[in-house]
Amino acid sequence: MTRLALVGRGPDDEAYARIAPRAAGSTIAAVTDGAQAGSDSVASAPTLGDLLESHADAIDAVIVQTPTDERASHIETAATAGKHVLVKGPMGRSAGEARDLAEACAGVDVVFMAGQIDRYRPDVAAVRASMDAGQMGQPGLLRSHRWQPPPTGGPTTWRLDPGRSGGIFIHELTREIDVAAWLFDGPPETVFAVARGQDSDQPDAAVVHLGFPNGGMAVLDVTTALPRGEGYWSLGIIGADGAIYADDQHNMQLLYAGGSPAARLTSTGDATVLSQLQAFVAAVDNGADASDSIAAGVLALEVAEAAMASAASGRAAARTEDGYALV
Amino acid sequence: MPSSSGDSIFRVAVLSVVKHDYVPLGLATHPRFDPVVVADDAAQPEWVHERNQKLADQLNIPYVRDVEAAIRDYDVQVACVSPEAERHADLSVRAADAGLHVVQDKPMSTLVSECDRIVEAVERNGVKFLMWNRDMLPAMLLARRELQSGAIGDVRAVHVDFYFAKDAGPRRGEGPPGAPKIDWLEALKAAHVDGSDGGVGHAPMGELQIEGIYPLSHIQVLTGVKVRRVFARATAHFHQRNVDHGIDDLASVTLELENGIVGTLCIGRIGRAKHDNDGEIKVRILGTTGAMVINEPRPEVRVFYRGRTASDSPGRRAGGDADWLLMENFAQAIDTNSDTILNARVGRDIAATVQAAIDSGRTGHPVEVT
Repeated sequence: MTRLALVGRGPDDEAYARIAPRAAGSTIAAVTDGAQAGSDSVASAPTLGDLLESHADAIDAVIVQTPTDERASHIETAATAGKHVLVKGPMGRSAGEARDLAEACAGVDVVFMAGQIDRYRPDVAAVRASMDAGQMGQPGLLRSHRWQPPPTGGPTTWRLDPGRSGGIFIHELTREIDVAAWLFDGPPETVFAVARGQDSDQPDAAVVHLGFPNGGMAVLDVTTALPRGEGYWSLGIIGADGAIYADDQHNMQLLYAGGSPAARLTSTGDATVLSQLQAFVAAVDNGADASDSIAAGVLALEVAEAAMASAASGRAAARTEDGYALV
Repeated sequence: MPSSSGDSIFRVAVLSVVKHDYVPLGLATHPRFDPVVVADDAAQPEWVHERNQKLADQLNIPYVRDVEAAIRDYDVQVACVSPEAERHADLSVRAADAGLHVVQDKPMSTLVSECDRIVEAVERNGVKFLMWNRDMLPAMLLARRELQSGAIGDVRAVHVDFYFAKDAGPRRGEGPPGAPKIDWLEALKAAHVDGSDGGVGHAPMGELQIEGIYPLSHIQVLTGVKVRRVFARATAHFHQRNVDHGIDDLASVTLELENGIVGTLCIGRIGRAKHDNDGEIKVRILGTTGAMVINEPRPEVRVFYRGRTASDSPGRRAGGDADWLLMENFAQAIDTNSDTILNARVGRDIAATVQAAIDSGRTGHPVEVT
């Protein structure tokens, strides 16, 4: 049994409460900040510090989903208190912050997983399984799109503030960058990006174009400018021996109610969050070394920063011993 | 779309048809275009004459081994140009100089400077020019109709996937060590049998050059603005002949267009095994108030049967009048002295975009389109 504490509020609060028992019998034991997973039997406190002070013995692991600018301190607090940590989204607002965090946590005997939520999507997992089975051969080109509405207000208003979230490159594109580096089994050697903002100077649409060794390439497109409603996602990868096309368009059902039919996406339910939680709990149970996850989290931030610099300068960036530099 | 206003019949000279015959056959779907002669230069090699003769026989029209004589003797008003890519400009310029309107197969040329020559000749002679394109396919008409209705506001970004699931000879690394470089012309001549010889000619061309005009014309037609700058990656990932000649069979391009519009293109000749149809071809459009995801080859029906081979795609186009609509557009341009959907100047700009992408892929830097 792994007793989990939810720190901060996130879109998957309710899902965690629902699925925790399916992840090797884990349970939500505590929450902060009024997370929706709370119930009368769950310990609650305003902050992580309060929670650790009053209920430290009731918690084995912490799921950090606080605003990006607060994450590093929460991760460090939890890890140094001996709690395993799963962080949703990027580890911090910069690669430097993430590197410092990784160093601070290096000597602590806990499992520390840096999100990588999209790896656990059932469609992405199928892509990876096919690649691992050798069906794709050497990957050549990865193309992904994720279009969604702007973040909502309420407790997640911080997502609207680039100063807190890191903006579209940090807050959003680290997800796609992580998947690309994961599927290509290494860091990109070149980074180019363009970004556009519709209603302000802050970009709400960005394309990151990555070059990998042996001619590999990835084009990652994200926007947060769709009208309110459901988003769109697709990922395709062309390999030397095979190709995979995962696309919401393929998974639409049609609804006829007069006029033009409406499309309804066939949901994958809680599969993504469940899969990630199962992996985390299994790592906790096994005492797994999650340093690869930390390194990947740092890399995603390094690439996102390079993309930001590229978009600002109009130049490409190339990988160096220290990260990336504009060329 | 209303019919063209004129009722005159345009007599057409097919000037060489060494690769696809779909351009002259597509042209002939419109009753106002009447192919009356196939012509080419006498000095062309015999395999060229054989292919020209084959189309002439199919259309039951004469084949003349003298381009200028055919233009003079058959009272033609239109030229349909489809030779090897490196001869496109020569035949199109000669046709324009003879006062003929020109329908030309892709690519416009292997050289931007040759495209400039076509633009100059077309404009100097006041004739109409149409680059063959896929922008009249039903799905693309739907996309334009929705855009024009304001369904998603103004275009902010267009993303096109353009993968052809065709093979191209030995796979990369296949064959004995030290094998001689694959002869480009001979390989492409041999590819004629399955219609995958779009790059036939003496000058090796990658996919960006051979097919790039199709997706780039989608972007052009949907946005109506020019590409300013590109960043590209390109590689020979699949086919040994592309490796041998240092040309791409897989590429990705980020495009920065006028008015702050962004585009991306993923393109490749990815091999038969990579798709159960002719290839994944999609257009994704982000607007100021919404977005669209367009499956370009639709509508189609899918046909499966015992004994079907992997090379026999199950997808069959169903409906649509793309060829007729292209020629209707061309007829209207002639009748009303208006522009075609893909004229010489826009075709030239697309060729310049392709060249910039190739240069970017080689240098690793973004490149201005000039």
